[in-house]
Amino acid sequence: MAGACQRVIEPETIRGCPFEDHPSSVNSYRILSLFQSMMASFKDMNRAEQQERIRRRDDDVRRLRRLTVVAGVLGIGVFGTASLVAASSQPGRAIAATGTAGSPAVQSSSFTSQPSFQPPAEVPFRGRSRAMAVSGGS
Amino acid sequence: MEIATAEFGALGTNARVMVLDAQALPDALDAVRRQLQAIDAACSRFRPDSELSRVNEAGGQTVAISPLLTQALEVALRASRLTDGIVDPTIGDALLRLGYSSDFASLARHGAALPWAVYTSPGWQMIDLDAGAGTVRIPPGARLDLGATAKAFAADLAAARAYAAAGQGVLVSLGGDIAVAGAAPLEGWTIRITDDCRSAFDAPGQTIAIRSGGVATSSTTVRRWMRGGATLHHILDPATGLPAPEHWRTVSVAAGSCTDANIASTAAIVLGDRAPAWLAERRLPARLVGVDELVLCVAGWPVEVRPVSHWRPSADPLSLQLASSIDALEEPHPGRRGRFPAELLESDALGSGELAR
Repeated sequence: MAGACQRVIEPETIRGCPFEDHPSSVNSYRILSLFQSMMASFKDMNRAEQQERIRRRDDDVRRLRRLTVVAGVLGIGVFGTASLVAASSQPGRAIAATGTAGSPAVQSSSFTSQPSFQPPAEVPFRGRSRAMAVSGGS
Repeated sequence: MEIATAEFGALGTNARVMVLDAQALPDALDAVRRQLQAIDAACSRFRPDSELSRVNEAGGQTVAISPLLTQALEVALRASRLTDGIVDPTIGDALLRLGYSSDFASLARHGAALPWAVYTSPGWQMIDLDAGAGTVRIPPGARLDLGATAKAFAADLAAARAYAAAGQGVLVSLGGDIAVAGAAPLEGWTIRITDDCRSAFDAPGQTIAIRSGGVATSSTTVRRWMRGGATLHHILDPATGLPAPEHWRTVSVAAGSCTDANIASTAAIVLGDRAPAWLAERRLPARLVGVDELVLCVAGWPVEVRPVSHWRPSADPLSLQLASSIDALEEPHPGRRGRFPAELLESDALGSGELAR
């Protein structure tokens, strides 16, 4: 019996139990079989998880690329709109139109609808040449 | 390239047009003239045939108005909103009561005492403007005066028109309310800041330069008249219907447009000692000349002579308020001697905060 228990176990015998008459051996082989199948499953699981991780990473990269493109487009849009608004608020670039009575009018929303004071784009600086105009009370 | 200049009378004051290229001057001038004529026809309080006079005489009825007057009224109402009613177009009746009933050039400088009474203007909120429909209604008896905004608004419009017509950088000055449009000269548009727009280029004051936007100056030293021995000026406090107390003789402001600069300079005269902090809070560079001729520069306005860096405020609240808003104090003009002589400006006496009173 002890001799039977010492038989070399071939890999193919793991799938079945060749020693039905020796419960302890059977149990050992069952445990070994279970362990080996667990290891195999574990390897499979690792592989699957790895693949899943790779897939997720690829998804993340794709999503990031998409977000970058969207942010770029949005940024360009916002910057463009801001530039247009800033340009249209310059008195010199007001859009000209004609009043109903033929009187010239200028659509200058910056003078009529700005919700706050418009500070100068650049603070005044010391004049270094001869004065061209006078600003005083009138 | 030579800068070309032309001057002519308009809106009861003088108009000055400057263009970077002399060849473009006729086109610019034509555009400015047409714009000013349109503004005068729409906004003059003294022309009986103007649209504004029609509104003032409507007795509370709704009146159809042109797009230009609609815009001018929108500008005036915006000024009231921005200043919490310190600049209010419904002071027309108060000005009439004080004797300012005609173009200033023809106004009698002396006259009999007026029946004085504390009078409050109806208030800008009573103006019922429908910009979409192009109509306006004001309460019966109320009279509008667009003097605080229309001239500066006209300067902005005229500069924009002239630039569009001439294709060159332009400066338009209407009685000291200055708007520029398009490219500026390399050294900027050079402007003399002084009490009176009719002054010579070397009049006491300061020379500055701007490249965009506008500059406006409000002063209590011009448009003064007397009634019954009392001196009056044209900048009224809507709360009392009387000329604002003279804390500042002249206030100059630079802003993104001449309109905004003029709204702020007018409000600063009425605000009195609160003006420096008010202007600094709104990031509007300004030069304020007190009745004692002490000059304060706020929000980045360049200092002409030298900053008084060692001035320290006292614990007095007004002094502290000024200290937080003032960039520098200027020495009074050498030709004038105010309450604080030049030698005092460099002395330690300033450490007591006396300058802020």
